[in-house]
Amino acid sequence: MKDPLGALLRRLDALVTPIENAFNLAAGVLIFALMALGVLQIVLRTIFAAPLLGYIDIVELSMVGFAVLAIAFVQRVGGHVRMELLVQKLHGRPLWFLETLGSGLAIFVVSVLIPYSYDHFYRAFEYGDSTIDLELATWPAKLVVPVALTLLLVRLGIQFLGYVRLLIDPTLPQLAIPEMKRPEEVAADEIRLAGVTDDAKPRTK
Amino acid sequence: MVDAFWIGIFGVGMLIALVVVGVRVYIAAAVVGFLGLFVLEGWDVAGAIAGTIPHSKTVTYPLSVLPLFILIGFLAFHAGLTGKLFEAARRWLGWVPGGLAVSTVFASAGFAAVSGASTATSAVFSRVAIPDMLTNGYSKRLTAGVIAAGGTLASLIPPSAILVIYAILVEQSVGKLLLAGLLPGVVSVFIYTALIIGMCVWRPELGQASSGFTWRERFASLPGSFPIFIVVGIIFGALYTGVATPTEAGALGAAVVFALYVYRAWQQRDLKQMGFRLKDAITETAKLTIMIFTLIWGVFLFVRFLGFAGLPNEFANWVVGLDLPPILIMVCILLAYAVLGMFMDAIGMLILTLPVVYPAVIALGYDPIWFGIIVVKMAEICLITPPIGLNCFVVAGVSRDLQPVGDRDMAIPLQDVFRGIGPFFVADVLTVIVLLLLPEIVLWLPNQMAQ
Repeated sequence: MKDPLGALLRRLDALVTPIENAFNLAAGVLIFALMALGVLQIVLRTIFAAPLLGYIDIVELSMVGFAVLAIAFVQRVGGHVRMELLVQKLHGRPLWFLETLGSGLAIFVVSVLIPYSYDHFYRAFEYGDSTIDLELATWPAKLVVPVALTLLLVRLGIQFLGYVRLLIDPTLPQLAIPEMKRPEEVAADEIRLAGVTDDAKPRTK
Repeated sequence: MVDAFWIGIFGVGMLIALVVVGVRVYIAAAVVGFLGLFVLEGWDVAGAIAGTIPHSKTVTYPLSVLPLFILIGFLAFHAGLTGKLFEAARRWLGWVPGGLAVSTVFASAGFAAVSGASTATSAVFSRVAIPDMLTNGYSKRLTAGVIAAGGTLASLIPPSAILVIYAILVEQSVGKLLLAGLLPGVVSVFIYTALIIGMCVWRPELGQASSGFTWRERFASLPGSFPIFIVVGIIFGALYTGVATPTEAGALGAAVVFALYVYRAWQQRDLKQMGFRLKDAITETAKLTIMIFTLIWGVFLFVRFLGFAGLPNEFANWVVGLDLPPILIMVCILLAYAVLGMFMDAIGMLILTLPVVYPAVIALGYDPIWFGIIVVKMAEICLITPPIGLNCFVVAGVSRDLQPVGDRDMAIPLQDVFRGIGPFFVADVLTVIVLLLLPEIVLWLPNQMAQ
């Protein structure tokens, strides 16, 4: 059976996935660095009585890196919270119709957010907005938002097409959409994460 | 403005409809929030508000404690603390009727002090406690019930991500909320313990006392669980005295757990495995972190719209105007949470509902800190009730993969887990009633806190 859309989606997915993974890993590394910075701050303040100047500035500037950057990654793996009560009971076209609708709405709102969050960045850039203590420029942090949202938009577009493809032909294999998990499967993930099963291999997702 | 009010009501209806048909909550909230602002204030105002919120509502210093608490939790599972804690608990408490079950409750509570994740705590204790309990002749139902229920202690006993989120949403002190969770956690432990002892005295076949440890053996078991006390000491000390911010305490706590984790990997000569696990732990931390932050800004956009529509105020006025005793309204709110929590992630449920529910609760004269603890306890109860009851699925899932000991099969079927959890569900309801009647249990510790 011919499936040109499927072939395209597979290619797009392979293109975006490594960027998303890199963003997520960067967010994780940043959290780890936040831990190190916090320890450093405590040591400097309590032992040397010389706290880091602008510690809060640095934390707040870097937060965008783990608060927004990896949003597309989480969208890909279906990590954003939703209520699955109804969709879990549906199959075939009705399910794919709802999913298409949902990603269509997402595309709408994210497309609105991108230019306006870019404006937010641009104002900071133009007027030289800076932090309180260290007077660091805030625009690079604000620029992260439209960048991350643009990647999210690409991911949402891929998922939208993935759902449309299944809406047209529900017999096709699922592709480029997050898998829906039953409670047993969510439980299995939790168990693996807690290190209870002994396969700490790098994950392929 | 009657018009704005009805647009607000329509928006709430639309949000509920979108969430029910499975639209991701952050999208549903952002779409309705943006469209609502557009209708009320025009496209440009709506866009300007929407464009700033994802940045301005997420990059605030108090929120920076969240990823650190989450990181502590993920690292703690690999730091080798659970086995030692359980061993210490059974040597000290094994002699009471149902001693191993009581030990599981205490060890879970101890581990909760370094972990904020209920389901993962249940997973770890399933592996540690199931083989021991079943080979000692404990009933499968009691075993499963105590492990699933024990896991829920993680959300109440600090560090708890969900309490931080509540504090930030309702603009209360993060430190106070975290401290407030401690005593209710202890009350839960005692109610569970009384329940187990009562059940095992009444029906000794459920689980025997296991005695025969000398004092020397008891004290010998303590050093293995010291790291837990260090982490607890750091976090409570910092919060109580106020010498460090929650973020700094979280960073230090995470660093201690990380050091233990490295030490253990080095001891087991397993540094490669450690590398994989560390990558897993930090990428999962990042994933959970962004899920929470995204939800926060999505819902804030919706909340901004509600604010323009004046809905939270109207709702609060309406609730206060009801000719009903506040306690009855509170019970209704809690029951609504119990039902909602069966179908939705606890954090999602809180972020979504609090903007409307919270002002009403405060208008009724309830304490903000107290309500946070009650709501989190309700969310925890939902982790052990069908149909989702994730903790129960976790216990059944782990037990299926355990090796049989002798001729004893370790697998506990899901039905048995759900039956076993029954008495603990009753105990949890009892805890909520106790906290309703004696709010001082929640408020005493935070009120002692240094200003």
